[in-house]
Amino acid sequence: MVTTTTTTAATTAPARTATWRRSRWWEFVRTQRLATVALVIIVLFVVAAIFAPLLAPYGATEQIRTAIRHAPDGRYWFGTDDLGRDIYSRVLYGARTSILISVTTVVVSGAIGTAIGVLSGYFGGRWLDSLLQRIMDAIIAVPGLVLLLFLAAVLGPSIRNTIIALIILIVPAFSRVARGEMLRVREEPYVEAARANGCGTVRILVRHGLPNLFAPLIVVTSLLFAGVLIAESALSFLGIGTPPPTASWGRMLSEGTRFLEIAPWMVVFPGGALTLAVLAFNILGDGLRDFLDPRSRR
Amino acid sequence: MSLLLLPACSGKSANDNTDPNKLPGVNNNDVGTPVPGGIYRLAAVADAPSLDPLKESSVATHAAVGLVYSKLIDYKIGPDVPFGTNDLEGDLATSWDTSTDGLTWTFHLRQGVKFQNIDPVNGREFTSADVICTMDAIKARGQQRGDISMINTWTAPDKYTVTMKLGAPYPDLAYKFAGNFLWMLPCEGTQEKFDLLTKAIGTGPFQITKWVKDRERVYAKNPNYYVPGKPYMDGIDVVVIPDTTAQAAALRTKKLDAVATVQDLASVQALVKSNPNIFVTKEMQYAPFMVYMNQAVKPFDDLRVRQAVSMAIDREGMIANLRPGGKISGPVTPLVTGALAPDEVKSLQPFDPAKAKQLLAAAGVPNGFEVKMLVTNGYGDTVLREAQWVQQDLEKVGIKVTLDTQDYVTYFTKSFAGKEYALGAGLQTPWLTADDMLVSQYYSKGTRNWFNINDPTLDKMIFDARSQTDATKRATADKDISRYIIKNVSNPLNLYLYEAFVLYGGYMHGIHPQPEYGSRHLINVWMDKDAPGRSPSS
Repeated sequence: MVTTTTTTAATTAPARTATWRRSRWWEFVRTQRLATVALVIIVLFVVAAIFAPLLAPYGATEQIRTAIRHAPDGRYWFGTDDLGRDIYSRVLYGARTSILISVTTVVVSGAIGTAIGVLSGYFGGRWLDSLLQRIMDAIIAVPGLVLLLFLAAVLGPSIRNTIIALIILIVPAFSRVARGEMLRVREEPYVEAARANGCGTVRILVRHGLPNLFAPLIVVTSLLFAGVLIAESALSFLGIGTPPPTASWGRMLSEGTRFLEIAPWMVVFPGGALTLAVLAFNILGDGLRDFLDPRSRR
Repeated sequence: MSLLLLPACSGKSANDNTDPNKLPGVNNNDVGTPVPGGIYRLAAVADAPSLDPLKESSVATHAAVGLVYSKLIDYKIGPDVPFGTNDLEGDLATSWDTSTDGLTWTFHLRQGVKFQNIDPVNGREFTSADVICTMDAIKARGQQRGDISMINTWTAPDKYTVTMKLGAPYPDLAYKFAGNFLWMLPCEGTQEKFDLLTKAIGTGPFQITKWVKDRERVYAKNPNYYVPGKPYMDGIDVVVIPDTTAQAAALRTKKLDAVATVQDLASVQALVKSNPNIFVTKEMQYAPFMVYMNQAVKPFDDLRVRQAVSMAIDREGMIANLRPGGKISGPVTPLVTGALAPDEVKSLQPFDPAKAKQLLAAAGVPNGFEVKMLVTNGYGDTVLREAQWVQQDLEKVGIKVTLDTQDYVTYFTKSFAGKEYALGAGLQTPWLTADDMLVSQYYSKGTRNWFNINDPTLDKMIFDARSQTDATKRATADKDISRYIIKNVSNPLNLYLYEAFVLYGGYMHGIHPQPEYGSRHLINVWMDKDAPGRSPSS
């Protein structure tokens, strides 16, 4: 009898959790309709990025020399650029570049920033917290674009260096959020209770600290995606981001501006893709914030 | 490239702004009487590494100091002189003569020429001592030492005469002194009483009043210039603007008076259509677009690989699609005496990707290879597009190229000059004689042989040709050398000379440049009374 009860409890708990998750999703979809549309757009961009080689009719750098600056038509949906490259294909591959840079940047800087924030907020004695936060302050004190230009100019134009520059720029954003949350969590009664029950630091962080970080970090991540997309494009636009002939929306914009009067499609489509992606990430970020933070719903 | 980085600017201009490709004849916008005054505002894509003409062979340096220094001899300038003339005239020398055996050259210097009134030279007179100082400095440490290698001794019999003795006849010596590099420096500069790297004090029409590296150079009219009443303009402001779109925007809004970076015909047409006051010139440039290989780096040590690279590149396609026009080039560029005709060049190194693949297979790399190609953004967007075109052509024969885009100073002074590359693409110096091109690049000890070419047969051919006094025989010998290079060296590949547009504000007049690095023609340039360059706020 006892065994039966235990088995029932074991099987119903995950089922309940799954049901709860599903209901949360539906609640998100029901209450954040605009954000849901944004999420769908983002998913489409990710799918386009992953399957670019299958979806693109031409290679990203393939030059169709019989169709240089060809206007959009049934064959070249978005037209071609000044070297005869199919802009539709380059926009798809550009999504790959932009999302690769954004995801890598946000994941790595998220990990580094969160670790710094947790260290600073949970363990932070007087000197460690001060040291880490002054370093973060120093990075934040320099205007973002200036810092990016400096780093990109010093490191040189490449995808790897663009990612490094962007990581340095946005680590403080994650660090600040994580630190603030950890300062709050470590004083919570349930943490004190866990500590009194003999739970180790790692267990406390994993069971109580990190779950509390999840909601604010997911919102920050979504908003930073948009910022990283813009920053990467700005660097490429200025010629110190992704090097030619890599397909990147920023570089395509930069190359297209020279032909704005005679081939506006060179700017319109990568610019449109960038605008749509940034808008989608911003709207999703706002929606997630509203959904995950009960205070903002009041 | 800016006007000062693109010295071979223009000679002809159009009053039919709707189609710059169909220029209706010569019109240099010479209408009206010259009005002194005004500041000429230009943009450069990249700045000079330094101002020292002894150290730097970069066009950016020589374009920067070409306004400040003078040469003994220069290419003739003026409204009736066609672009690319072979006629010379005295600059600091009023005349020069050669002994009957061709071994002694005597230069008679202009009297009363004053240096710019800047410490420590302080406006003193230019004399033969300065010529001797300059020649000594070039021999000791000048990057131009190859230009004077045929001269054994130089002496100054008096204050206004210089005599030079050669080991063998060299009929082109006057052209050497009129070329891109042989500026006459004051002894104070060569004796390090001021720093040639950061300061320039010469006898030229303009003097530098401010230089903020990578930002701007400001020039003021030299009141001591030896031609009375010249230059007309009060000064020149050169701003470093790497972005070509920003340059075009500055021309539209009259923040610049000339732009040489818009090189697409349709873009030029659109620009002049919306800005009818702009007039356009189009002229063949003397600086070839080249692809070059480091023969010390495998697999480019193999002639067959270099020939494969040559045959993989569609030169005519590049000219047709990336430039307003151009001419296919051999080792000696086609505007210079002694060059092969473009048709012969084409037959000797045809565009033949299939043959290129065969050559790669014969060289032991049937599947091609991966290599980085050195390029710079300092030559402007069009050169980067050309590099991408070459990249695609090479990929089609199996050579997978990654572009290594560097800033101009790093590219030119470190990577290219330091031979720290395997494959590269860019513009080459617009040398004005066949001998300049051959000795500088192909001679095993040439000052610009940054390709590790070492061919004793070629060395002998070059030196035999340069001492040939008969001009026709010399031209024939130079053509034979070109044929030999294509067949046996195939590096560097001067792909073509290209035509280039320069766009000017309609208020600019008297523009008749020559292709050499100096810009002495600017002494005759003037602007209307209502030109923006006359406004204090401009």
